[in-house]
Amino acid sequence: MRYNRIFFILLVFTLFFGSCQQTKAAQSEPPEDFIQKVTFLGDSITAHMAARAQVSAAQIWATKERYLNLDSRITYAKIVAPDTGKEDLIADVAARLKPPYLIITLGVDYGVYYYRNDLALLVKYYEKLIDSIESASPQTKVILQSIFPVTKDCKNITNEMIDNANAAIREMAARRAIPYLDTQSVLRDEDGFLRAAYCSDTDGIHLSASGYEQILSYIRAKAETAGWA
Amino acid sequence: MKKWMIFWLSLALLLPSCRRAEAAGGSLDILVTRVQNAISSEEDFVIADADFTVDHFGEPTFLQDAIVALGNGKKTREFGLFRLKDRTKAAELKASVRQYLKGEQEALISLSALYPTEELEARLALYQNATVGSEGMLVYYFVLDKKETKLAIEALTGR
Repeated sequence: MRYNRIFFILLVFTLFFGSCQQTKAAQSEPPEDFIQKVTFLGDSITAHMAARAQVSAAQIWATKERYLNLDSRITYAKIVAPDTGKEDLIADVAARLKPPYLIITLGVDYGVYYYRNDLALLVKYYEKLIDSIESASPQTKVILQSIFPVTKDCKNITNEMIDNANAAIREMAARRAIPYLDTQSVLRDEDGFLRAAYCSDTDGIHLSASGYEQILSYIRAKAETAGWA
Repeated sequence: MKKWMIFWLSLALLLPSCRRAEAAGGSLDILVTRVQNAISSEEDFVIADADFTVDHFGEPTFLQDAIVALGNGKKTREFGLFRLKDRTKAAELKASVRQYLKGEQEALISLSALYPTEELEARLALYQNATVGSEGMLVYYFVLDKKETKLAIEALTGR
């Protein structure tokens, strides 16, 4: 009888303690990282994320040559589809893969400089791309990201051009009710240039691993504020 | 004898020009197909949308129709065919086409500075050596290698 009681107490204790552990385990399990749900589309700055950022290659949509001009041919441009490894039109990849979130960063390869006196054209071609993606995959949440700043060493492209282009992109995003990430704001130094530590190249454009870390942290924070799943 | 010689000579001169006129006639769709078929390749072309054509060449009143075909494969290839309403405007349209090609060259030069690759250099060379011409009411340009340009012109003009 006595041993039965002891056994009963031990059993209750074990059951109680075990359920507490499970609750604790459930509470301390980290939420799924938003970044894991994101696909990134862009030019070489996006392409380099595969090697320098904490994302998988499957999350990167970029061309084989890495450059992607925001020009009249944008909807004819072919990216390397992560599922097949073959080159395919952006809209066709979108139709097939239907990414839940697609962050697009474009402009530095062509748009910013060539359309510096006609930003309406930059916006026009950007919208052409967005239209093709939204038509191919209506369930994808398209998010536009600002063009990133450049250092003093950058030839041809200035931060004034970038600021003007970003203003036009931001306005277009607002008009279309598309989220806009002002990520460029966390990459600048006190003088408004791309912080040296975030730049990987003498061209003053391409980013380092720490630059990408800043970008991803910014995106995570914005995703939380915006309530993106 | 002399009369016969004049007759046969005239016929010899007339027939090829008839063939040229016929070759350059027909709708632009047919001509595009003719050019595509003449260029031996496994890779096809995609027809640029109206936006592309209007953005780069405008909508001048003397232009009846325009088609630009962009290569869909790895190799850089492009051509454009334009049907005029007024053949006296051929020079003006050709100037516009040359302006467009110059713009593409500038873009490629700038891009090459950022990404110095053989592929971009090869593309630049093709645009620098593009052929612009006209045949009657037809203005054309070809961004193709020499062999394909020759075949394309033959397909269009019969020459």
